[in-house]
Amino acid sequence: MNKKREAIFQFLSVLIAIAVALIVTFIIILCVSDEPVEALKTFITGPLSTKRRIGNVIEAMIPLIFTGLAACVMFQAKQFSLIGDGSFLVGALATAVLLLKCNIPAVLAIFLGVLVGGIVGGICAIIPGFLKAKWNANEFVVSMMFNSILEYFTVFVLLNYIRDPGSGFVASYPVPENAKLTSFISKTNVHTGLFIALFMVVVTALFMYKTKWGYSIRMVGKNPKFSKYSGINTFLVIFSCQIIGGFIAGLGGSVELLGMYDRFQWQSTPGYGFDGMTVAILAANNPALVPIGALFLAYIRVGTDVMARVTSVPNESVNIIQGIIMLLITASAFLSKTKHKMVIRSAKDEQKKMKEVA
Amino acid sequence: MNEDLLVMSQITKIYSNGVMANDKVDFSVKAGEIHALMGENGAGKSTLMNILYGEHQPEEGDIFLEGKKVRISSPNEAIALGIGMVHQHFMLVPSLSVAQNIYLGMEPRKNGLIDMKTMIAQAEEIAEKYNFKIQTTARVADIPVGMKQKVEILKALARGAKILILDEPTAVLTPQETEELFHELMEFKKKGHTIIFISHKLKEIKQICDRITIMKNGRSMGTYNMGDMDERSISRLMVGRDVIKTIEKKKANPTETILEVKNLSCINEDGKHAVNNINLKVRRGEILGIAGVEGNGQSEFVECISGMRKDYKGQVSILGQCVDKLNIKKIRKAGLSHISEDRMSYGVATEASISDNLISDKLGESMVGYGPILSSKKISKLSSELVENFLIKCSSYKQPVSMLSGGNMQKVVVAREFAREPAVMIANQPSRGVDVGATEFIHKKLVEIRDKGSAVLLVSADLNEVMELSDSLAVFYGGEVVAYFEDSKSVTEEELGYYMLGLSRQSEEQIQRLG
Amino acid sequence: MQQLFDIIFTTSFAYSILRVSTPLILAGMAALVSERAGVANIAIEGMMLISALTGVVVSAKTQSCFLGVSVGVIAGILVSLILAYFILQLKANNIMCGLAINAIAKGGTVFVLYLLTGSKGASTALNSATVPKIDIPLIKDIPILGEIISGQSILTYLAIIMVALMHIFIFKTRMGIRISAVGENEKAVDSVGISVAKTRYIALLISGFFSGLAGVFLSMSYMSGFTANMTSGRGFIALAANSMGQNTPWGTLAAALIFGAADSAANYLQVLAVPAQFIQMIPYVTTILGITLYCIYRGRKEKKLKMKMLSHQEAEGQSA
Repeated sequence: MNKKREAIFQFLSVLIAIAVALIVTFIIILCVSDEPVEALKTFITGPLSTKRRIGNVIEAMIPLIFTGLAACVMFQAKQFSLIGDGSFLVGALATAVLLLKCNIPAVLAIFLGVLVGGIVGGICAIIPGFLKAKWNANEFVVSMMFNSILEYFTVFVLLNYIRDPGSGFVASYPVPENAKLTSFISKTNVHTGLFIALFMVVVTALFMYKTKWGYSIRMVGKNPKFSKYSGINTFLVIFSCQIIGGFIAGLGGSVELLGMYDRFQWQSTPGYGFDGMTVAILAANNPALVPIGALFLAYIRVGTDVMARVTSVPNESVNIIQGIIMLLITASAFLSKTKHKMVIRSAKDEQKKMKEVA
Repeated sequence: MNEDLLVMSQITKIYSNGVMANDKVDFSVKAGEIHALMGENGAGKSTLMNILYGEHQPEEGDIFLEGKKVRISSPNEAIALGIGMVHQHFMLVPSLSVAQNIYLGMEPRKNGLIDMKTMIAQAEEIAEKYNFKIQTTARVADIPVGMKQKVEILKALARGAKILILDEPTAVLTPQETEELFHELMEFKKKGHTIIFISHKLKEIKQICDRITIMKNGRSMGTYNMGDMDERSISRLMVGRDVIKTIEKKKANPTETILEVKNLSCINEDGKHAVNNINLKVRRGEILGIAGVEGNGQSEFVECISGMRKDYKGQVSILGQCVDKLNIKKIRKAGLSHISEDRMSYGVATEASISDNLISDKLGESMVGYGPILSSKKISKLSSELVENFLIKCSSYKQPVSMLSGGNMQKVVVAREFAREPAVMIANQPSRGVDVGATEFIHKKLVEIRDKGSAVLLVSADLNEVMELSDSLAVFYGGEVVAYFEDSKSVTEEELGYYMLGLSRQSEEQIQRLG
Repeated sequence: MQQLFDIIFTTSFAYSILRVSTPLILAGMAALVSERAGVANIAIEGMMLISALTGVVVSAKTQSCFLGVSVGVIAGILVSLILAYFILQLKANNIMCGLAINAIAKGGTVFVLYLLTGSKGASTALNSATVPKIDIPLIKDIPILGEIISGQSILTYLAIIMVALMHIFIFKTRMGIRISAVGENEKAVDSVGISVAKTRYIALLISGFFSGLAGVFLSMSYMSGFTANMTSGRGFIALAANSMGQNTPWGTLAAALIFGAADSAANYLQVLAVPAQFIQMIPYVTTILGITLYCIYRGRKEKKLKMKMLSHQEAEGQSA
């Protein structure tokens, strides 16, 4: 049983999960749609049908890359925190406040805006991270509750400090033009944030696999007792991985704001933290594979959107697909019987080899 | 009496990590006998019994009870067939009472609700029948270990067990409790019960067993009448070599004190006073062995000095530096290396690669990188060196540790802990579950590091190992040091046994020479 | 300040605590039984949503409140069956599975709501039933107490009765003891031939039952109709309430009432001159504080006990 076989198993299980999720979706579409064939067709080919829609897929992929990376870092240490949701939201808010309230010189606007978004996103993760690391308070429930607090906080700031009363809907004053991430493909909104996202993929992958800190995070996830015994500061690792996760998600929030919106207008989280978890699972927690996971999720998201516009199937179908994929990939045992047989075969092979050597 | 009550034939079991725990084992028991099942740690005894009790399914092999072939696919079916098992680690629910534990899942009921009164009455009745003195309303969390074992036995008896499997029942008992247990076992035999007694203590087996089956490396070495065997022949079958095997080493030349422990006491998770006021010194260039029956405070003692446990009283210092308030990283930096007794929980991260496992304690050092960055080059150099020097059998250091055999896994641990050339090496059960070759290799390395000027603290339940390898020797009993021998050669195995079993104790002056 | 007291010391505020706490109590029981069996049910939130919508739809189609409640609860149980299958049979991580089910529930309920009503927000187009409120004879005539306790929804009374029943179930029945034993030491249960998986299945099904009741209460009593994501984190607050209540029915009830009080305070205090958002944060802040205090308390207790024993034994040794 070598590493390659293990990797093949993991890959296969992801593929099967995706296939099952799509089949279930097709069945649902068949049941609810008046024109099921048309619906299916738009779902599958819709995202590729026009240049604009291809652009939509890439646009949708950018925030997913950030929160996917954030989830990877936390999952590698086996921390199931949803703080990515709140950090994303508040990160974007912080960027908006900074750009609207301070007079930032044009050259620095993007850089500072995004950086502050990340830092504030990291700060958001301090409380759930600390409570987990110090007192073993369930990071999942705490981050969930804390996200609600962050939502109300965001609404408070939006309404009282940056709201533009002249706008037809609840939104901030427009973000200065010079701070915006510009589109670089005509007829689409694919913005330069994509490069920041890909840059973060590289940085995160290097961080996880080429630094001592990243190594510590991985080891704590693999065996916390072993890590503690080896002298790794598990408190710091558990605390810091959530802050790093919050930081990356916060970056994502600012990039999304500066790339896709004219004004800050979220009054509740756009839910990218949870989507990031799905992406991380699809990528087997490997930062380098996050863009692929994000691309897949973005594709089905745009597919369901197109389908909802053309037919009567609402785009909430994407949550159903996402949920099923998550369920199936995490159900690692659905291949374990075959795995057990392969282990036995390997063990017998090895014994034979040993005998031959002897 | 002559008919075989139970036959297990050609049992093969491979665990999902690839370890072959039983290889075509034959085993049979006669009605009304006490049958010993003996073998070293990891010989496959517990696996065989877990199969009999339906907890594991064998890959191959059949089980016959009273001549009829049976399939035991769950403990439920084993219980229905009259087979009961008392596990080495107690299977009790701490927050429930003794009576509730005995009748777990079969509580007497009235109007659909559990009838506490009847249950307690029944529990008292069965305890009386077998002459067990036990308080049935006490919470299991609050009763001593010996009592817990009685609850386990009563649990099996209350379910109508005719064949009783006891997995190393005396490991956790005091000598008095052991005597009491043996007395009770003889009672069972008179009442017609059959007992399978797993142990690796020769004396106990000679005392109460009728026949013996010996296992080694997952295979059966045959079944013998107790009367036909002496201790030497049993031990030869068990370990396959003469027990007394000398390890080549020069005479120790100890110099200054490196590790010093003063007045160390701690309470373990069971609320037991596990370590009681221990004083001890280990000097440069010596191996101090700690002998003792497992569960006499050795584990907790090592946890305290290695920093795994913080809630203790007393002082620990390394090279004069007080380390008892430091975290593990700093303790290791002060010069401590530690081979954990629990390889799978602490010693390795099984999913991680060999090289990941080799560098976990070296993050603060220049061996693995530059500043905060890991250097693949340095790691690959270090890993290849260690894999080569410590003879770790693997296809590459990138292989996950879970693919290695127990012996090779332990070599990974040893390689990691030795690489930094520590001032103090704590080797806790360094050869547990490891094959002969790896054991010899690890022993050689321990002597080597002693000669290079480290202080070695060797903790082992394996008498042979601790006697041969140590220069001086301390014996733990009941969380205290009960004997100290400056020269480990000055004591015989028999004498040591008395101290280990708490039958004798040196004078305070003699013990104080240690600290 | 005076204004604050005027609001809090009113019978209508106390009445509303009971009403607001009801879904937390029911969901708290769902958390309790799953936690006792050693598999925290993260999907309570999703189960509540599905049951809430099912109850509304069935009661609108049949015009029977009873059918609506029953089918809603059954829906909760069915979802818990799926969750149990993934966690117990396929050995999937319970948090990830719970999250997945929550995602399916959140999207799926809106999906179905849209197909049925054409709206993604609320079920106002459906003429669904509500569970009646009842006056309790005698008690309703007692001043103050009558105003608070009487006139609540049947489901509120049912919730309180359920807490008592759960107490008996957990501590006095075979199945209850088994469930607790599985959570505490599953090997102990396995070794006496009781199926650990089956016991956990049952615990999760019961958890689904309570989640269902909690969901149905939300859409058929707390409000009259379904709105998207109407649970707003109550399934998670219930988990917190249960851990603060130390896994006991009465303790969980008490914690649920505290969180309920915080929640209804949030509703009542909106008239104050404090920004509404800060008031709305109260239940969540309370929950985090509750969890934190409980965790600190738990950690301290263990450590104190050991050190106490050490000094105790030392003193004994000196005197001896």
